[in-house]
Amino acid sequence: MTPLLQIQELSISFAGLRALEKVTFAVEKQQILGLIGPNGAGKSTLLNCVSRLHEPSAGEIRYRGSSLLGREVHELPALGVRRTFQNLELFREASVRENVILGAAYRHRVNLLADLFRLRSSARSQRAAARRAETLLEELGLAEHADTQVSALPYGIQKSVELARALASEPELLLLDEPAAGMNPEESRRVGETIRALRDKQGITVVLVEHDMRLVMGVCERLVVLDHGEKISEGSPDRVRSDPAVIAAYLGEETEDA
Amino acid sequence: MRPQLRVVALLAGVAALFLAPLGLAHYGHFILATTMVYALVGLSLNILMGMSGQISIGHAGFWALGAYGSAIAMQSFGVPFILAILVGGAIAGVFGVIVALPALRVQGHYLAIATLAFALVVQQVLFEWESVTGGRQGLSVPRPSLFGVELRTDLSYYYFLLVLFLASAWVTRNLRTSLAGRSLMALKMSPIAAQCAGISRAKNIILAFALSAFFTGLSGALYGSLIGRLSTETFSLTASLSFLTMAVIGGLGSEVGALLGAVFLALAPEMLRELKDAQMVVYGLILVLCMQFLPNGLASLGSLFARFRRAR
Repeated sequence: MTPLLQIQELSISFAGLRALEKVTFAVEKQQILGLIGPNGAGKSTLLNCVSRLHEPSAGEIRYRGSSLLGREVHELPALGVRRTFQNLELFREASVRENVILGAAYRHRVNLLADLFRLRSSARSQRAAARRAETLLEELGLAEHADTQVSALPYGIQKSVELARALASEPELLLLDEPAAGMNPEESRRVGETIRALRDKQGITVVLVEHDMRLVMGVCERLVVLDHGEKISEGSPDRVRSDPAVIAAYLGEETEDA
Repeated sequence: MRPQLRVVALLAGVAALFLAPLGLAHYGHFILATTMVYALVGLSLNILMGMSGQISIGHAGFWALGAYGSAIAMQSFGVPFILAILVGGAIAGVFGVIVALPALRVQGHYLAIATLAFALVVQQVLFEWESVTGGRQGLSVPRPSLFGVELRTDLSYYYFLLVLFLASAWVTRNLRTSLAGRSLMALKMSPIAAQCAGISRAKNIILAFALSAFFTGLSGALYGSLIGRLSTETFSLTASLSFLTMAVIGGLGSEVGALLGAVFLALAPEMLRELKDAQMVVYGLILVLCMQFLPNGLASLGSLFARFRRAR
């Protein structure tokens, strides 16, 4: 069976600086794959390539066997690919409910004339989008914040809103960029539970970029380690943990930090 | 505001608009009709700037295309008034799509300059294309007539314009509450998030420009029939800037804002006439004060007042 997502020899550089160099790996259907590595390793860049925000200079990205490179950013949700952002990309001036509704608005849109003249199909589309959002808000425990403007909420809840918005269109592949950043251990544990539940109950495949090693080791079945844009290790969490190359990369970073 | 109160306020407002001409003389009727013409442009900028967050200082170009398109359709092709104004709107709408193309690549100041250039080109072409537009001679436009009945007075024309404005405001409002309008607002709030949520930037920006240009073109067509004579000087940069000022002063977030801005644009020159050369200074001052203290325009006066009352 072909893997759901295939990254093949992917390279990209910014102003001569290599951010990714011939990175190759695959994500199997319904797998939770962790993408880890020190800061600046190219993890977010890789997610940006898959979600089509960045144009790789070489290599291929295949989703369900066919190339994503000819696709535009806005086409991905319909294919089943959604993502969240490390630094949050929310509709800050809108309510939590509106954020989640907009997450799947593209699916419910009717033709423009129906919207302009308020035909029945237009009202129906608005109701359908609102109902879908309502369910998600319940599921993710956001119902009490539904009418609050997003920017007024604490960071952790904003992260949940972003996840809810990504789930609104029932994705098959979810790219999560540091979902637990800035969270305390308890919140981070709950993020882990949520991710596992998404896979177990809804069969969603997850690519997780994360620095919280407890979370990564706890929920991922397979890890890919990047350092300076290159893949330095790949395998089960146990194997990767004991890989000398990985230890060197991380220890190197720690001394830099200190 | 409570929903019931909102309905009462709306009905009272509409009634006031219908009663407005009472006790006014001919010139008053003309000003009222002008207000309605401007208010349509206000709605169009509400769509473009208020919803999609794109800027245009070239709306005089769409206004001109609508005015000349409709006038030529009536004069040269005998198209009846009611169809001709739609032709005017449609021509402007098509050009809206063309102007949207640079908007897909550039934003902010660059887009402003691109739209400005568009309006200047339109004005110049209309001026030079004498055989069709009359060039410096101008072009005379017949009085509006509906199904063979001529709207001979500005009073009767005002009522026609009022109904058209109310219908257009209803359409604009429908757009605002629909998923199409909300997708536009999503693009304004965060283009990246919106696109990652499946909203096509290209398609929606083109849509916003086309709709906005259509309503401005429609307004231009109606303006031509009100004035009775078109001259390219009317469609200058000053007109584009006045529209922008009107939209900001009225408020970009609502249909009421579009109307209030239009009232301002129609009345300000009358009120400030005494000031002669100082007019523009006062005009600019009002704009600055408005942006400083009423960032959401005159339309937000109501909620501001309500908050003030609650705070006491």
